[in-house]
Amino acid sequence: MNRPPEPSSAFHRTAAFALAAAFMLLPANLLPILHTEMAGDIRTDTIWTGIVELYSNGLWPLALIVFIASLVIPFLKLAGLGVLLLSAHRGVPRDRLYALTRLYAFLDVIGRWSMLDVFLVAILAGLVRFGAPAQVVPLPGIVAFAAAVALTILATRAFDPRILWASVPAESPSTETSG
Amino acid sequence: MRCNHPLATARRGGKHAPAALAVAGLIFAAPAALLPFMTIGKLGGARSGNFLTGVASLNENGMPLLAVWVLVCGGFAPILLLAGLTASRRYPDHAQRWGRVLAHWAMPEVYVLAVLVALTRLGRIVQVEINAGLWCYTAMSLALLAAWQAFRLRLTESSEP
Amino acid sequence: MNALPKPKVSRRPAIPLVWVVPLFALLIGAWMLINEYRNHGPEIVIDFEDGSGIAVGKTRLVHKGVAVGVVLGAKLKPDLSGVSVRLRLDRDAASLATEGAQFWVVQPEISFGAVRGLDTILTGARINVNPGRGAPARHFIGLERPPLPRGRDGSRSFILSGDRLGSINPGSPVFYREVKVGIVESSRLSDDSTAVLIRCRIEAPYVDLVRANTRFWNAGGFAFKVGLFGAELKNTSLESLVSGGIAFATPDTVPLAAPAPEDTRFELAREADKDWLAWKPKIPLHSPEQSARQPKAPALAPLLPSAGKPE
Repeated sequence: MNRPPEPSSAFHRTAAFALAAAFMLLPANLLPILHTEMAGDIRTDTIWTGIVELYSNGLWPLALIVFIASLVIPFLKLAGLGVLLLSAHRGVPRDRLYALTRLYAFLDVIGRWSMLDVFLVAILAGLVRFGAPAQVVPLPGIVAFAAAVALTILATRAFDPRILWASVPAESPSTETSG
Repeated sequence: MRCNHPLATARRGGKHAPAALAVAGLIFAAPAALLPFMTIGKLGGARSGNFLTGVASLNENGMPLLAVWVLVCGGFAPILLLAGLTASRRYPDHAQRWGRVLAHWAMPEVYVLAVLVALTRLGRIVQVEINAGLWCYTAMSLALLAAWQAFRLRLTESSEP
Repeated sequence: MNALPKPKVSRRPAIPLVWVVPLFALLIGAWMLINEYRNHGPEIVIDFEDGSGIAVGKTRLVHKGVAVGVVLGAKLKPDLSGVSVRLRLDRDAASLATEGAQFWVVQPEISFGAVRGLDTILTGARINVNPGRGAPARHFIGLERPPLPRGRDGSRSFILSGDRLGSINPGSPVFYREVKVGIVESSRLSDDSTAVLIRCRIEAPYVDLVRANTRFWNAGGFAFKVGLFGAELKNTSLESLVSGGIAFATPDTVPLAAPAPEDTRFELAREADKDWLAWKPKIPLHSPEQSARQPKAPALAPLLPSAGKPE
């Protein structure tokens, strides 16, 4: 692999990106992401109201998917990263090492699915393009959200599981676990 | 349906698997980029969209950076990764390094899911028709996933003593 | 053997450069939020008797064709006598919320009385506003019907006395040579119930068209003229097709009669006499702003042969 990690730098980078993602999630959720005018229905939606709209239209599987992708996963990622960072900081008991590394792998995999809403907005806007009587306009909130997702991915990439191992208070060398 | 290179055997981790799948992915990538994904018909004309129209609309609405970002995650990164994997037999180390980086940012399968969500959501209001471009893009995504998985398996196998 | 080299504790700067990123994110995020909320203007409450058509988050306040506010919430008044609608104005439209402002809900309306608001079939109900004058206010009573267009300065109203109301209603147009120059404001039975009194208002540039000897007639509805040269169906504006109309003509005597003062009473004939339609007095229109507010649709005056429009 690449050059040996510098534990403290990985820690800082992960923490910084995670914090930045958290900051970006505020406008991402507060600001509207999409404005649609279709079939007489004019609405401006935030992430949350978009989900509610899907649900109230009977499309609850879609609402669930978007809910998980846009709300649950970012939250899980930040919470998970927080747990990892905290553990690395405080020291990891050896029996937890495997679980935490699995957590890391899990976060790594799920991160990308948050981009669902961003792609969704792009697709809808791309299909319904040329003005009245129907149009779909992406709004600034989606930029903030995409930034937040990108930052969580960066944070996960910046995190090196070896800082977990390095923090194991043990005399014996750490065991290699499959990652 | 085009024929892939014959996959070596059903043995997982066949030497040719990653490259072959990657080539298949690339073959699908070209029509995926060019052909329309969906056509929606409403009062008036019908409109088609493909991957690029979505990107273009972000750009037109004053979000050029986001447009580039979507283009990268849904288009460039997958294609680069596929290209890298096709060369993975000759340059395994490079493929590994760049593959790891790209694999984080290549997410065409998320795009596919987003298309499905959009399809279902629009389908309630207007008539929606799925076009060939979507199938090609999905095939490309699956090929990419399979190729990457095969590549990683091969790595772990080859690193076992 | 240690798998890891001992970390070199180098005296780095206490805060690695990467922390600029969250700082950036904080600033940008704050900027985005401030930007958004900067457009938020005051919140006002409007009481309506009926809230049908009003959708929270969707129904907009529209003024001069532009959306300037959005409904935040609507709930029944405690005494169940109506609906209180909470509405947030855009910042630049804050001056609409002054005393005397009139708010009303625009819904599609097709009745014998009026054809209105058809665009809301597509877009959903909206709330229109006539700005008030005076101190800023936050609580308003909404109107149940659209107010009649306010008499712009210079307009003049007259009273027409007719046999029957016919298809004339408040809002019906008044035509001169098939051009809409005014509007019917109200109508009622005369005091002795032998006639119908109709008040109509002529807009400012056209008030001088009405002279002491002007003749008015009922020009509304839908008529089909079958004659020697075949049937004739005039192109009609949707308005007068459904809601009736009044037309008038002024005799081209020389010299012209004096302009009729406000509230002059005229008789409303059931149809025009042939000679009335031939009158072509030269009456200058004295308003400099020949505004583009003329309706584009030609008016229906089926009893008139193509008399030609004013040059």
